[in-house]
Amino acid sequence: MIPWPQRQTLPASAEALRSEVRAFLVAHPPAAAADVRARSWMGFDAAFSQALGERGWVGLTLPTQYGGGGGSAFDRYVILEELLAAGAPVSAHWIADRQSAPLLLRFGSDSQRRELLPRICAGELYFCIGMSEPGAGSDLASVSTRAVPNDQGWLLNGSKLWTTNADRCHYMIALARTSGQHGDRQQGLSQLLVDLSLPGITIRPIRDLAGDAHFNEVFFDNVQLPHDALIGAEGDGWQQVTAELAFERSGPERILSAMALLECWCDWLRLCEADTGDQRTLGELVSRLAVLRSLSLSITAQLAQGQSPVIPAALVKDLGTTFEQDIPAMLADQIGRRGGEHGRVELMRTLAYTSIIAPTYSLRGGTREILRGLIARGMGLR
Amino acid sequence: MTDSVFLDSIQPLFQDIHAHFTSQPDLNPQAAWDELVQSGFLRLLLPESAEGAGLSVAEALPVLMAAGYWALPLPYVETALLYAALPDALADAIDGNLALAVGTCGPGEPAQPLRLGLHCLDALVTAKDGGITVAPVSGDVEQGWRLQGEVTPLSQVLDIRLLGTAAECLQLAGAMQRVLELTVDYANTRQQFGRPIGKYQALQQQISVMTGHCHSAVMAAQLAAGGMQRSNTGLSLDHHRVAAACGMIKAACQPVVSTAHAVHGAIGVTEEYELHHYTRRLLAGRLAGGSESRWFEQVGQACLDSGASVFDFTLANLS
Repeated sequence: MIPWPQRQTLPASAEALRSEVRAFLVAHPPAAAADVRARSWMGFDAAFSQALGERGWVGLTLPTQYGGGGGSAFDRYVILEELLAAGAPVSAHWIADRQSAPLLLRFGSDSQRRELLPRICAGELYFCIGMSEPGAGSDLASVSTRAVPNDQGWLLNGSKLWTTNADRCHYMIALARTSGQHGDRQQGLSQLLVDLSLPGITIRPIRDLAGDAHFNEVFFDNVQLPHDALIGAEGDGWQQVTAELAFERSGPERILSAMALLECWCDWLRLCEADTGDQRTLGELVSRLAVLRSLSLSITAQLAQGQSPVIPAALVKDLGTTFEQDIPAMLADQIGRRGGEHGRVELMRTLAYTSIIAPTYSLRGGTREILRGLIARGMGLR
Repeated sequence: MTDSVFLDSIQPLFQDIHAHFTSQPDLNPQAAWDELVQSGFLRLLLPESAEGAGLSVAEALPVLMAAGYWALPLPYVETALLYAALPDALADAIDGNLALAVGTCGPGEPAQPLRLGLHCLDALVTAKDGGITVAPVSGDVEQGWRLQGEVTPLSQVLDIRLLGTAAECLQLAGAMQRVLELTVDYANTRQQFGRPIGKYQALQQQISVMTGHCHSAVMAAQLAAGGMQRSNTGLSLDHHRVAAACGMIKAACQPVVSTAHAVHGAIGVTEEYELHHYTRRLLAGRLAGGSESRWFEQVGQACLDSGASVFDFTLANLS
């Protein structure tokens, strides 16, 4: 059985950061239009990330010796939820802050940490995640990108797909086969640090259905990596990736993706006469948000204690992305219920964008169906 | 279940009542109630100066949810919360260890506890004329309850319907914990096509969704408990927090019942197997005091009236 969640409220020291983040957002305001703020995750703004880094809010939980803020996971939670609720453009430093830096801190060599972590914390160095491939999506263990050891280090060949921001990042952390055969599954995989400026790398942006280009295909043609490109131990890539995903699957970003739409609708409701149907829908969504946030904080508490709650995090992600997807689905019905009397243009644009992009919420970071398999295993089935 | 010395000490009695109620079944409700009175656990939330244990609702939550987990057909949680909510007004009743519940009791109408299937009631606390009253009742679960004696108005101000609904919801969350355990156990045990049915993806996906509902309900119960603060004057209810939590727990009832029965197949609809005690309770409990829509409407109205953003309303009222 998955352990029952334990409610965790934010410590006062973390709560105190909230007003500081709001003041920062006054000085560095996100876009005014809700349909732009709805792209928060995909808003790439290096100047914003550097300003955040100067404030000490990138790599907040990393030790000060590596340029980090030495703060708690709860401090980081408050900053993230404030940035996301405001629709701030967090995409540039996002992956490095959330996953790559904790991964390097835990598994990286001392020189990797000393060289990379301070620049991540400054909001200057951006990372992408090289996991998915043309033939390896949910079945991640079937990656066929291969790094062969040679006298200069590792020779990398293969390709990655759906790599968010590869065209604008400095480094990729790639999962590649370093020993054994293709059919060996989880054995023989390693994580490698790939400097994306190296010769032999081709990056092609892929335009999404909303007209944005945030993900890419990345090709490696005899890319020579140095010896110290290896992160952690050779062959431990699968365990490292699994641990990394606990960071990816439980944070406020799995709850707040559709907040710009929900806020825009709520503003609009105050201008028209909200009836009990509107109130019920709003009340359900607010109540779900409250419980989800509490569940997410309970995972944060476990991460803060150094645990790796992979399966509880998968459970929160499944609930969170379902909530995020229900927002446009329910609001389309609520808005449309009024017949031809539609909401204002900004609301309709935000609804259209959120509705068409919402299917990705339960794809990125592990599909819903895969997560539910994990949850079932955590419950003692199979 | 959460570790708790209080839970460890009362759980054997809950389990014993459960066994006599569900599997034997030969429960003597009055004898079971007397044992609960003897245990002192009715006073769990009263201060030590009133011979209580002085627990906050949040601290007592494992015990309160366990009453639902063991399907107690007695007004234990209701009584413990009402003792905490109305200590001065009910001083006499507390001395007599009366069994209380929230309900309605209009003139010439049957007395109706908010929760169905309750044994052993001495009095109902009811809302009346903008205030609350204590109405002594007699009867039993089959014949129904009738007003028996003088109604006593109380000076205390309390949203009694919300309190009664919360008392029910904390128990429903405990009941969902039990239903999830029963369902997983059955899926791992029952074999078809040569392997446990829990090995099939179709069932795994359904049980995963059910797990999400149950975890949400358990967290909602903790949120509600955090919104019920006891002071010298009684229990103050943080309306929005408790209403939102009740809405979430009620919204989980139907999907949890549906999946539990789907996984159990025909055995789940027999009188002999214990599942129906829980699913009946979840279906009735969803309605008791108002279904999820009633509470969601109130939360949505409050959010609109606040003038704050959805996010700020949530932080200020529901965190």
